[in-house]
Amino acid sequence: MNRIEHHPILTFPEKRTLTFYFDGKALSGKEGDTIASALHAAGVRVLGHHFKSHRPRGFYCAIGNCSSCLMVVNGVPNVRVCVEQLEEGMDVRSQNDKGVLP
Amino acid sequence: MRDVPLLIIGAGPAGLSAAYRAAEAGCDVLLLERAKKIGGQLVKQTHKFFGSEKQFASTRGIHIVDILAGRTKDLPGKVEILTDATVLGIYEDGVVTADIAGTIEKIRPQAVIVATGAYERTLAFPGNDLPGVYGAGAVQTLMNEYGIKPGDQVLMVGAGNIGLIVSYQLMQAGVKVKAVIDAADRIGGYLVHASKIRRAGVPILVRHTVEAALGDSEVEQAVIVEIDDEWQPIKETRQVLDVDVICVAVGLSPLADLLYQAGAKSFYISPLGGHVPLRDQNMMTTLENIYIAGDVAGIEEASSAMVEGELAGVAAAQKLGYETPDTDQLKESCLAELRQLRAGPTGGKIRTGLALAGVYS
Amino acid sequence: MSYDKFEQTGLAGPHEMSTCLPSEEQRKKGPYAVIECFEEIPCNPCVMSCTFDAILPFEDVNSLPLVDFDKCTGCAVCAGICPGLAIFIVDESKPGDFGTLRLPYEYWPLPEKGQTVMALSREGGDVEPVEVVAISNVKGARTPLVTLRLPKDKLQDIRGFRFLSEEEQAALKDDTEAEKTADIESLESPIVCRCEGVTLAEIRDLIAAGCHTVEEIKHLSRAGMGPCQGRTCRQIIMGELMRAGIGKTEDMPPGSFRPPGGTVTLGQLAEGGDSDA
Ligand SMILES: Cc1cc2nc3c(=O)[nH]c(=O)nc-3n(C[C@H](O)[C@H](O)[C@H](O)COP(=O)(O)OP(=O)(O)OC[C@H]3O[C@@H](n4cnc5c(N)ncnc54)[C@H](O)[C@@H]3O)c2cc1C
Ligand code: SF4
Ligand code: SF4
Ligand code: FES
Repeated sequence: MNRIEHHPILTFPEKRTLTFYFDGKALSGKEGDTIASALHAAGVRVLGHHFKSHRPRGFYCAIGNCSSCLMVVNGVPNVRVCVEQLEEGMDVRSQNDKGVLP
Repeated sequence: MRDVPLLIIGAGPAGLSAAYRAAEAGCDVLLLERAKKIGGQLVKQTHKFFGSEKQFASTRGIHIVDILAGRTKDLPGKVEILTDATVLGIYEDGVVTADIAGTIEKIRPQAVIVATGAYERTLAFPGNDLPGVYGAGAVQTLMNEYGIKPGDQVLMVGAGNIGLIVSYQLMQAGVKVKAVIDAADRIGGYLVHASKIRRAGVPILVRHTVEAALGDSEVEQAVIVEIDDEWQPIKETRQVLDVDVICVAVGLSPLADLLYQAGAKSFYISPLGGHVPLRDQNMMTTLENIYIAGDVAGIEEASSAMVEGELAGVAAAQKLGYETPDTDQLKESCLAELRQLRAGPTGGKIRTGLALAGVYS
Repeated sequence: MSYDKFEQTGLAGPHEMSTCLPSEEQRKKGPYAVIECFEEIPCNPCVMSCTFDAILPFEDVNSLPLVDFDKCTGCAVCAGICPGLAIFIVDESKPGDFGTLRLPYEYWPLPEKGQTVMALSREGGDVEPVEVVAISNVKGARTPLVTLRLPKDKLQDIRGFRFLSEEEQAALKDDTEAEKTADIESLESPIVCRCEGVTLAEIRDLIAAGCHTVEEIKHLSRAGMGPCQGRTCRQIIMGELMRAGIGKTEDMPPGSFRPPGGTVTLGQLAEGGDSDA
């Protein structure tokens, strides 16, 4: 598990578990997570592939600055998943192209 | 269209301090923050801050936010704080547009204080786009906001304060830090931080750089190497470390996009972190009634960001006609505090930068 | 190339340390603060927090902290406050080969009193297994302080500790196997102050944490603050202080006394006694 259980200074209260789908596979995250943090906690670091170089991509800044983390969320492409709140039942897919409008 | 006397952009230590002082003088304030939480960089800082008691030294960053936010209440002027509110542009006619919880709104302020902070710089090396190469801010966000370990074994690139502090925070979260490296020939951050992480057994290698991140689809290894006086790699010193995260902490640059866009005059001043908007003693830019404060005015510390915020808040309110008998004295004491904070050897860079920017000359 | 200057390693060496230690004489006097802060940075909580004025006044917020060891009592307030975690409290004043080191510790979990841990050098290298003798964890912003019992000749070399692995613990246990006797340790600690229910273990903790007078122990534990005014506990506490090597019983101030010297009821007080005047 990648979640911090004990910390000398911070406390992370137990939160409700949310189920979402990554490329069709059911994963669980926690309420309050962003899509990126939930994926990371579930061990998913590769969020997609660059449309030109086809190299794997993950997040980089985690605060919505760099656009390294674009994914297709509920059919909408180019969502910066590092600042997008996770919701129950979300359909999250790797993005490997520039994204086509739904 | 919303009409407000004073609009403040960014609710970090600078913005919150500006709001407090302006409202104290009787000026109503609208404070817009892009993130879902106020506090800026502070919400990720679990360590105790330096500075003097006036800037809450020895209080943890995460607790300073509450103090700053608490001060904005019950003042002669009203402070309205909106989160999930990103300012998109400042236009010539003085109109500001913002995305407030998904709706674009127009605001017509009489004065603006830009306190948008900074963005992280990065490094170019082969494999730097592999998942697992993360900015220091991202590592902190993941760890201290979401309670998620960024990985198991980390190489920290950068031995400035951020690299040292984030290394320490990683260890507190139970993550192993394999090494901290820095291309400079000395540790850039405070040596008390350096000593602290040495005690935990983490090596700090100066004059070292990262040559590559290796891995098929994610970071699996990092190649580091010593560099010579010409900053060229000394091949025989190459080492391969098994790590799953390479954390890049090579500095910040002012996030002044809104100001460039609006036409504020700015200069590239390396000691201040990049392009910084010019400003006068009152923190006003070359644009009438547009002020700056905090890291956007030059990368420094939360302590100075707060004082600059207070100064900008007082000055902007004064310019709009909100004055108290103490106003001038308050401005003087802010300037004196800034001078104090920047007086020592570690403030040398800032002093040089500000001199180049024409402040203090 | 080797890069071994302090600003390249972050490791304080003989040169740095020569600026922050007391004289032989002063070391014998009692615990003292070792402030390993050798770079001018804008920071002053240490000097602001010391109520004994034992840190020389700063010219400005960037000044270096220097301790006046004649004034420093080793109270450790500064150590809990310093954001740089740069202050250590050393006590080598007691006779014998051992002294104590209190160090700031901000990791999870905190060790337990009596636990054996591995003492670490400034570089984080293993030195030797040592005992944790006290932990003070003041809630709030302060940094918890852990007290280690160390050989006197290592007091300036050890600056951290780590937990022992299970194997290391097992290895240590084997050594002590022979010493196992009746399980006295698991019995509850004897009561020293009956009025306030203070145990011997609590008293020993306070002494290990740096309390050196009956008065200090009284204020922190309440031992001696009960209606009997310390008649049962005072001698034991003085004995414990002596056992810990803090002077002879004869020389110890007994602590303060307040009237009434016996128990009275509020009713009695309210009625008032005969006035002499
Ligand atoms: C790891 C680390 C450790 C540090 N340790 C210390 C320390 O010990 N002591 C110390 O004094 N300083 C420390 N600092 C520095 C300190 O955090 C910063 O100098 C300080 O936060 C700068 O304050 P600010 O208000 O200018 O910017 P920030 O804190 O960055 O706040 C800017 C805010 O503006 C918001 N914003 C940006 N753009 C927009 C927009 N378009 N619309 C709306 N909102 C926007 C951002 O979301 C952010 O909340 C540390 C920094 C880091 C990264
Ligand atoms: S240990 Fe106590 S007396 Fe000594 S310097 Fe620190 S605060 Fe002052
Ligand atoms: S509080 Fe700590 S880091 Fe700050 S000046 Fe004092 S000793 Fe140095
Ligand atoms: S990781 Fe930078 S925008 Fe999401």
